Amino acid sequence: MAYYAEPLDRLIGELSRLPGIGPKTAQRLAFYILKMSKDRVESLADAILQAKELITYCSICGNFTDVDPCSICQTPYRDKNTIMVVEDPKDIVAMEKTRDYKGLYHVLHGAISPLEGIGPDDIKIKELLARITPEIKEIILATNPNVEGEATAMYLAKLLKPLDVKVTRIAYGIPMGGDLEYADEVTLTKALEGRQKI
Amino acid sequence: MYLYNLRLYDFRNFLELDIGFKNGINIFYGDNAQGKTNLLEAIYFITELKATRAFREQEVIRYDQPLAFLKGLFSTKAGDIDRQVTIYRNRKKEVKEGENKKSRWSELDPSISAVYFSPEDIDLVKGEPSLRRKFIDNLIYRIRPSFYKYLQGYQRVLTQRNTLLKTIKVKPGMTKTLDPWDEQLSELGSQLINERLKMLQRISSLSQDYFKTFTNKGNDLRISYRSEIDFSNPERIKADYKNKLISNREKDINRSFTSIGPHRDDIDFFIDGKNVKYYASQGQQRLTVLCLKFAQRNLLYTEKGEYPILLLDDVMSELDIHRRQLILGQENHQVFITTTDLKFIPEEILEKSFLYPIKAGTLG
Repeated sequence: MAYYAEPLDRLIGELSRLPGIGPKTAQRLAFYILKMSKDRVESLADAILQAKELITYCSICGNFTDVDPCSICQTPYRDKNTIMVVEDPKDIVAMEKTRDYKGLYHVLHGAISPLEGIGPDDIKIKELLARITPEIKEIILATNPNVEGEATAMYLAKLLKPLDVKVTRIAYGIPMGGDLEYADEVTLTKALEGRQKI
Repeated sequence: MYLYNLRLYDFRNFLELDIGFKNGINIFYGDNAQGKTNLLEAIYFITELKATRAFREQEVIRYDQPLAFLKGLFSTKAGDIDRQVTIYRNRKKEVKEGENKKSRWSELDPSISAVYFSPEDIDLVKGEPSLRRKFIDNLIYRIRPSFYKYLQGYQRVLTQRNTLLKTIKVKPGMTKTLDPWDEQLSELGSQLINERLKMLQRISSLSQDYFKTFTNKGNDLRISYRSEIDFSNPERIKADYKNKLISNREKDINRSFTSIGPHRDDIDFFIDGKNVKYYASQGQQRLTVLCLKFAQRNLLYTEKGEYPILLLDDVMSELDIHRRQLILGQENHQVFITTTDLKFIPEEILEKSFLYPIKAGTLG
C-alpha cells in the first residue's frame, strides 16, 4: 500500500538515497519542502542544478572548483614547492580551516582498496606524478590513517622515492584537548613512535 | 563475586523461574532433557552476555515466544549489582545494570564474569586450530579491550590482501601493489603474535600447576605456540613474517590466499612430552581443557580482583572419583554443577553443597 501520493513518494525516495539520510529524515525533509514557498523551492532546486553544472574538477589538483585552475592553485602567494596529497576534496576544506598550511594540494579521489576494486590506476596517481617537477621540494602524504589510506601512502612513498623529492607522512597522535588515559593503545603506541624532541 | 538470585522468563524450556543461589557449590540434578544445562546457560548468559551452544543467540528464546528475559543479582566486593538482559527475536538484545542501559562491554561492571566447561569443550584440544586461536584471542581481548583494534586491523588487511591476490591472477601487473599490504600485515601480525605469546606464557604456567595438582602424579603439561614464522626473538617477528610473505608470493597468488600468518597459527599441548591431540587419552584431553579453563579463571581473578563463576556442565561423570575430589575439594568460590545423579559427587563435597532438583523446566 502506498502511504504517500506518488510525487511525494518520489521526493522521499530521492532524498533517502543521499548519504546520512534515513527514511525518517527523508520524510521530514520532504514535508518541510512542501511547506516552503515556491520561490524558496525553486531557489533550492536551482542551487542544486547550478552546482552540478558549474562545479568541475580542477585540472591541476583535482579539487572541486568553478574556475579552472581552482582558486588555491591560482593564488600567487601560496608555496608552490609543497604538495599535500589527500583522499577527498573534503580533506582540503578541513586542512584549509587550520590556515596553517600554505602549500598546494592533490586530491586522489579515493584510496587503494582491492575489496572495492580500486587499484592505483583508479585514483589520481598518474596526475600526481605528472606534477612533480624540479620545483617541487616536498610531498606530504595526508591520506586517512586507516588500512586503505596507509596502503596508499606506502605505495606512493615507494613510487616517489626515485624522484628526488622529500616525502613526508602526517603524524599520528593524541587529539589536542584529549586525555592520555582515554586514548586507545594503538594511538598511544603510534604517538610514542612519532615523539619529537622539544 | 557471586550470583545470589536469578529470575528468568521464556528462556529455553523455562517459562518462569525465580531462584536463589549460595556462594559455594551449587548442584543442579535430575534426568536428562529437564533443563539443567539450560539453567547453566542462563547463568552464563547473564554474566557473559552470550549463549553457550546457540549458533544464533535468539535460539535461547522459548519456542514461539517474542523474547526471553533474565535478571541476575550479583554480590561483589564493591556492592550489589542488578543486571537485566532482554533477548528479542528481531532486534538487538538489551542490557541494563540498575536502571541504566548499557550498550558497550566497557560500560558494564568488570567484576562479573564466568567460565564455562562442558564435555564438548574437549574440541579445544582435539578440534580445529581456529578454536584455539579464538580462545587465546578472546582472553587477551577480555583483559585488554583495545586488542580488538589490532585484531580488526589485521583481519581487514588480510581480507584486502587476499582480494588483491585474486585480482593479480587476472591482472599480473597489480603485483606491484602488494608491498603496502605485506608491510601492514607483518606490522599488525607481529603485534598479534607477541600478544598471544605473552598470554600463552601466563596461561601455560597456571595450567601446568593445575595439571600437577589434579593428576597428583606430577605429570607435566606444556603449552607451545606453533607458527611458520620464527618467533624466538620478539624483535625479529615482523621482519621474518615480511620475508616469508615475499618468498611465498607466488604460492599465495596461485591459491588466492595468504598462506602464512597468525591467522594460520596453532597451539600445541604436550603431556610429558607427548602431543595431547594425538597421543593422549580422552580423559587426559578433558583434563587438559579443564586446566586451561581453571587457568583462565585464575587469570581473570588476577586481572579483575574477583573470581569468575565456574560452570561445570555434566563433567563429573567423565572424571574419576579421585579427580572430582581434587577439583572440587579446594574450591571456595561460586560453582554451578549439573549432574544426572548425585552419586557422581563425592560425599564430602555433597555435604557442603547446595542442591537443586530440576524437572521439566521447573525447580522441583
